[in-house]
Amino acid sequence: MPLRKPEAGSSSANAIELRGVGKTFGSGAAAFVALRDVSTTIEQNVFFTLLGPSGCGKTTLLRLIAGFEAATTGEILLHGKEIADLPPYRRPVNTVFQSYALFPHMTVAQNVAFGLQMLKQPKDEIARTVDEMLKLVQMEALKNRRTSELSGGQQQRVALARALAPKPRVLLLDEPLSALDLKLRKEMQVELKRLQTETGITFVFVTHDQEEALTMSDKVAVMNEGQILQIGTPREIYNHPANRFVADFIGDINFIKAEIVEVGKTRCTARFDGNQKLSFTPDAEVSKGQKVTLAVRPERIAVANGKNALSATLDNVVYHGTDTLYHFSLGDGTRMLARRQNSDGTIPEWQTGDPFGWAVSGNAVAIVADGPEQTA
Amino acid sequence: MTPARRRTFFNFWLIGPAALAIIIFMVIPLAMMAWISIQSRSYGGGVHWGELSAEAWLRFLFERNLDDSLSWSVTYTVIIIRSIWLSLITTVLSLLVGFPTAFFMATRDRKWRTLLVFMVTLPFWTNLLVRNYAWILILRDYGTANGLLMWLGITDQPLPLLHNQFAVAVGLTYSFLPFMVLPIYSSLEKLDLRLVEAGFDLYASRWQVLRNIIIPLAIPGIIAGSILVFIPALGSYVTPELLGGGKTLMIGNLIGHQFGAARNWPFGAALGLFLLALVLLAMTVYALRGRERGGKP
Ligand SMILES: Nc1ncnc2c1ncn2[C@@H]1O[C@H](COP(=O)(O)OP(=O)(O)O)[C@@H](O)[C@H]1O
Ligand SMILES: [Mg+2]
Repeated sequence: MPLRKPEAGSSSANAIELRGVGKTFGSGAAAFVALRDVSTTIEQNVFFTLLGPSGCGKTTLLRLIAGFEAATTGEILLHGKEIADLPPYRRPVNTVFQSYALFPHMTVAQNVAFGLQMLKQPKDEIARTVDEMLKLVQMEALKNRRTSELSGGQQQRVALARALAPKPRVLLLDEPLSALDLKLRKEMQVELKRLQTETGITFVFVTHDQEEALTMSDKVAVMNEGQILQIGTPREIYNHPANRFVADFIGDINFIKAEIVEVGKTRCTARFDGNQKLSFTPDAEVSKGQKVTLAVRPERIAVANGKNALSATLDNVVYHGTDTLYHFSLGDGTRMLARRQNSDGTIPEWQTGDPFGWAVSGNAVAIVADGPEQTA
Repeated sequence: MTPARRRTFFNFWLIGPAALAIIIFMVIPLAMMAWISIQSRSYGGGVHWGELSAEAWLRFLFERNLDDSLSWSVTYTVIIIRSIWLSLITTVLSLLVGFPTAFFMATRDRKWRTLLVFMVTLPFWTNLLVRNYAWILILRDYGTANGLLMWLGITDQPLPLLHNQFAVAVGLTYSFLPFMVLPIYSSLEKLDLRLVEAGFDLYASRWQVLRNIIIPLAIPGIIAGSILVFIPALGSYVTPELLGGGKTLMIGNLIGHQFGAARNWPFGAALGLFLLALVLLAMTVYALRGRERGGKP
């Protein structure tokens, strides 16, 4: 029998625990390492997002958890229990597939009922749950339609209802919104977040869209090339990216090569671009003479004119409706970007080559490592 | 000529050759058969042209006594029913063997599949007669099958494997198996494996996935395969002739006999038309079912 209810005594707080999970496809010369040494804990009742570029191993990780693939190394614990021996149909997790994978020979209601029938639930209970689920995703009206007659957004809702119907304790979602157009995607993001909060089911959500990850998640794991590079809340990931890849992958960012020239109690000073100096509060241990890469988000750069302003040369100003983007270059050729909100309605006159004064507040600077070492 | 007229004119010439071929090779022969079937027979073979007679059609259900009165006879009804029965058995056997075979093929690596498809069609490269003679060698007393059974000590004397319905069913199944395997294979190969995974994800065991997802999605292939096996099995001639004894005549053999030894052309023609009607009936049922399926919301 599938273990669907938490047994007394096994109420571990972690929904999923990955311990040194690795996956290699093929063998010999054709061997391909899709995941290496992935370790993390996913607490119950959180919206956990796996974020990374296409091909980084997100789907593979979900498939290991769902049981469609066996891990080459490491172990996967579900509510504190090792599940390597359980076939997919015995695991109390359900998946919303990237392609939805709705059964084409069944109606919407039959699709949603499928899991419940396989669990041998009584007929009237199945009917009740199906109605409840279809209501939840607002698809009651299309109950008896064939799935091939549905739009992408509707199919997505049915896939969600089908996966939620058996009331799994963990729901795996593989880029469920990527096939939808922007407007629908935004709506569904809100919807999914609401569903997760209401049902209290642990969501493991896969996406390559950083904005989606930031807006929906309680926790984000940023992946690249089969590894988890950083795990944290959206704010942590955004404001304190652990390394260059994470910083670059999530939103726009400026990198400045610098050397620490002075270390104070809470603040330190870095020299960059020849002899410009920037004072900031470091988010990592620094020592004098250390070469570092500083990361600054474009929206944290202010246009400044005073004598303390840092200097640069303007390349281009691009009007974006709500924002204006200032592209500028440092003396050593480093290209930079600043974003200002158009709150006062004036758009500055400018010419390429104009001097550009800028400033950064001390807590807006992050120090990032260059390599993609794991810093979970 | 007006443009519309010109179009009809050209259309006529375009479909002309095809229409001519159909008329020469289908309509005329069928009309001849229908005509022959209502002529009176000539005992030396052939018919007395122009002497109309319902004798051939009456023969399906009646036989003529010496005093020229008709009495009810089941001789031919039995053969017709046996033909349908043996064809159904053949279809079921082909399905039982063919589905697992097709499933095995469709789940192999892509590079193996082409080879497997080739291997399934391999028997077609050999003459049908040769293949049936091969089955005689296998099934006869002291043949391969009996030899093996006795060597294993399962029996101590040969089982009657040849010259019965069993032999015919085996031979027909063997002959038409590829017609079952290939359509099923093609629908299974198209099957989206993610649907199978979705089934597993929703707590369906292997068996339940097969029953609730794979088989329903392979239905078009199963129906096509069944039709492709049933129809030629119904009209088969060589296999019952060689593997069946005198008691396992099928319609095909009966027709052959009417044009040969029995020299009853009208009855042969009537039987031929009857076989055609059976096939058309089977096809119509299939087509109607298909329409029902397609039109369902
Ligand atoms: N069955 C497989 N055999 C071989 N390589 C695979 C297989 N599945 C995935 N891969 C490879 O593993 C890598 C990660 O794939 P995947 O997990 O699908 O990435 P993502 O979902 O992050 O885009 C890809 O390079 C892919 O080609
Ligand atoms: Mg993927």
